[in-house]
Amino acid sequence: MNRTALKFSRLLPALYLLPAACAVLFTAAEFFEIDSFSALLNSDTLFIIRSTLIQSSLSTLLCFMISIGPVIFISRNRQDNFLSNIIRITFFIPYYYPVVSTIISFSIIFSGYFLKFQYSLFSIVTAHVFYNSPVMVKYLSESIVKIKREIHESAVLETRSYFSIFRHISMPLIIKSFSRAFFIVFSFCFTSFGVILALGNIRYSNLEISIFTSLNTNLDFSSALGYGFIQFAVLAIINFFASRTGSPELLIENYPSSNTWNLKETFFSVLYAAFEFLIVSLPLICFFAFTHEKKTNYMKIIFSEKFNTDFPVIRSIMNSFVLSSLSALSVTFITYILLKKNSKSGEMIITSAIGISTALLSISFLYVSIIFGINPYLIMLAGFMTLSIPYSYSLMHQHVTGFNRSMLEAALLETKSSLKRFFSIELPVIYPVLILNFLNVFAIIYGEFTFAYIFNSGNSLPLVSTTGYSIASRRLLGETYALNTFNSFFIIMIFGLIFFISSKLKTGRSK
Amino acid sequence: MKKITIILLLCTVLTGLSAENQQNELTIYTYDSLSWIEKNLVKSFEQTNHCRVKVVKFENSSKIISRLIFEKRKNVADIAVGITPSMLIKAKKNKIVADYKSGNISAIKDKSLIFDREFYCTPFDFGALAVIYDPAKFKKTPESFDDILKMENSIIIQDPRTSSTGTDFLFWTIAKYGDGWENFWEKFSRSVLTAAPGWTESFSKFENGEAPMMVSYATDGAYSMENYKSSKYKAFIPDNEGFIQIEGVSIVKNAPNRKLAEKWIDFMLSDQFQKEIPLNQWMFPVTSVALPDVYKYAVTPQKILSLDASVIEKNQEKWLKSWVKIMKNKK
Repeated sequence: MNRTALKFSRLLPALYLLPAACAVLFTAAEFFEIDSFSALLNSDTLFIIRSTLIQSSLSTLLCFMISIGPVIFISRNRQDNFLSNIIRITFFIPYYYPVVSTIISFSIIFSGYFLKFQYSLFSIVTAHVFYNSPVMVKYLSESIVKIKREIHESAVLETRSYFSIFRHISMPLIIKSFSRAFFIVFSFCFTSFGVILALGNIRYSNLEISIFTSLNTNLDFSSALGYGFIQFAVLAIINFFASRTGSPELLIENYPSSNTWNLKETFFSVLYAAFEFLIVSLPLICFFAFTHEKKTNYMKIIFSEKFNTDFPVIRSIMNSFVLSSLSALSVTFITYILLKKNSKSGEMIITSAIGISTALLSISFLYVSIIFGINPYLIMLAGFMTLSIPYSYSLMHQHVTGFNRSMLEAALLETKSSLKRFFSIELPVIYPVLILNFLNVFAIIYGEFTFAYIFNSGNSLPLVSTTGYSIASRRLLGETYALNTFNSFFIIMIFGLIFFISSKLKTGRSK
Repeated sequence: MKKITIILLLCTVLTGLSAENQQNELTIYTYDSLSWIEKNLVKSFEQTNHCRVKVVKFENSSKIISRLIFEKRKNVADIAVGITPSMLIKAKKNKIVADYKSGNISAIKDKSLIFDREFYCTPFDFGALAVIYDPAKFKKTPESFDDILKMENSIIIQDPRTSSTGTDFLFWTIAKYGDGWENFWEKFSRSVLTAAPGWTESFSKFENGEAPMMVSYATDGAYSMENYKSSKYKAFIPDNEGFIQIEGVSIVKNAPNRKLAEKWIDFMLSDQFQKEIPLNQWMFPVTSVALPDVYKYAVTPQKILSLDASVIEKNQEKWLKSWVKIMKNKK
């Protein structure tokens, strides 16, 4: 490969951001005003930054605290343990469980049925903890189970308590995973949209909501761009420090599993699993209770012609299905190409893309769609791809870049066609990963809310998340629970498939 | 050659998919609460004028203006329904609406309702703002703003940045308290449970029992009687000093179907359209059509408060910023 080609291949990952960058720049060229931008340097902006930082820091901290018990429990009881498996199942929540369903659950809990805490910092933080703590549990537990056996055993010999071992031995060794988990959870909370929109109030607004409000009320693109820049900068700085933490060199397989029963950690784990599953199942319980109480078949109602004239449920399910399938397919293909040309700088660019404001991106794509008359389907496809490639990248990274090099080199001697090599050598090995990635991206996009909600102003292309939100915001409770039940079953089915393929992959690897 | 064919095909798909037959199609931008026009009125207009009408509904009226500013370079809409005087200021400033004096303008019974003498906007309904409440949740009926101040988290309002009802409620308090409006809101913010993005969302929250009061319209007593056959919800005008909200319709500048747009405005002032307003929009019609009996349950203010359009134009942005600041610092 010559030098130019090498340089180009290094820049390839940045190309995936090109449509988004063009859309933002094009919109900025039309609406950006330096006066509004400089007017951002005031106490209001500081208030928004402070408020965003407070709610996201508090949420991240609580996510960590709540995850300690389950992390210890999973790391001690990782094999064939019912509670460990139940906790592991919660990992689907942050990525696949639709945000609208979360909003519905917390609205039920906080609007007076159980507690009166709606529109408070407490409700926001609780919703974030529910939604994002499984990330913390996943990352920390997975790294703890890999701590070298000898280190753990010598600590046990010193008769340290389990919490003491966790604090003095495990924690320093899992700091890399911790910082990664911290970054992801913090990013999710920092850029939260649906939860703040529904459960917050003006007082608990964040940067993402401010971007949305600036664009939505005054079409103040300059302020939105300013807020977007701040958001991106904060997350880029945190990402930078998170990626600089020590390398987990001591982490290898074979952490000893134990069958000892610790009341404290079991109690916290049961509590944690109960909390997560209560929230997930609440709309389902309400659906059955409502159907029974009102003696009305709400499932039939939401698919009726009459209801669909006001709320296009069927059309939105079809739109979401088609868009999610197409996006997932394209994302899997593009991510594979990007990973084949993997470089450190490319990785940095792609992971930084997590900090891009979805609201800003959405409104920019909307503007481009209007001005150039591009079909909303295509624009939404581009938007969803931009948003999900970073997640897809991290999921496929290890499998694609870690592919047996000697096998590829041997294949190179047989054929020069990369297509032939892919189909005969790589595909038979990595196809489960590709399917897994497809399902992951499908589920993420099916439940995506922020981009769809902002882009969909005027209901030009209803998706299941936006239609669900419209029904929920009208407080059509029976219909809300019915659609939510349908979506939950659909997502759980996909998650079941993901879980099944993942376990097959693990079994295959251990063999 | 293969690549060029693919690119050409892609371009055809990109442009072709978006090309819609816009001839003889009237595109109306409105907000959700006005969706009732689709039931009979739109069909009737389509039959009379041999055209198609496309109704695009936004969540709240401010989104209509934002979208029209967005589409300034490539107009899609012909008509914007639900424009209030304060929104018109923004619309005129951004040059997104065109003037049109309807031939039916003389049908408007009270000429003071014509809030734009240049006819960039034609009024089609009006109504007094009020506070509605659930009588079952009160021992003593609230009557004034002072009564509301005594109750924490008791009222749902609309966000004036996104809702015309919310904007007019803010104007109402400014008209009542003058320079002291900020002091009033500092106290009042404690009584506010939430500021919903629009009237529909706030009414859903109110119906769901999240708060016992909500900023709405004086006709809500009539609504309650018509729909629940009882005074399930009652309305009161604090201190009996009301504020009138007027809603209008505008033709979008460079509308693709200007002629049809003009016909639509004439249609909105016709008896056929106006008589549908009371029981669907729950506002008063601007022409002299007869009101349904149930309107005797609508409350009327003893005194009307108002703000001069020039004062609104000069201060609106400043007021909104102050309001946001007060609400953010709610204790």
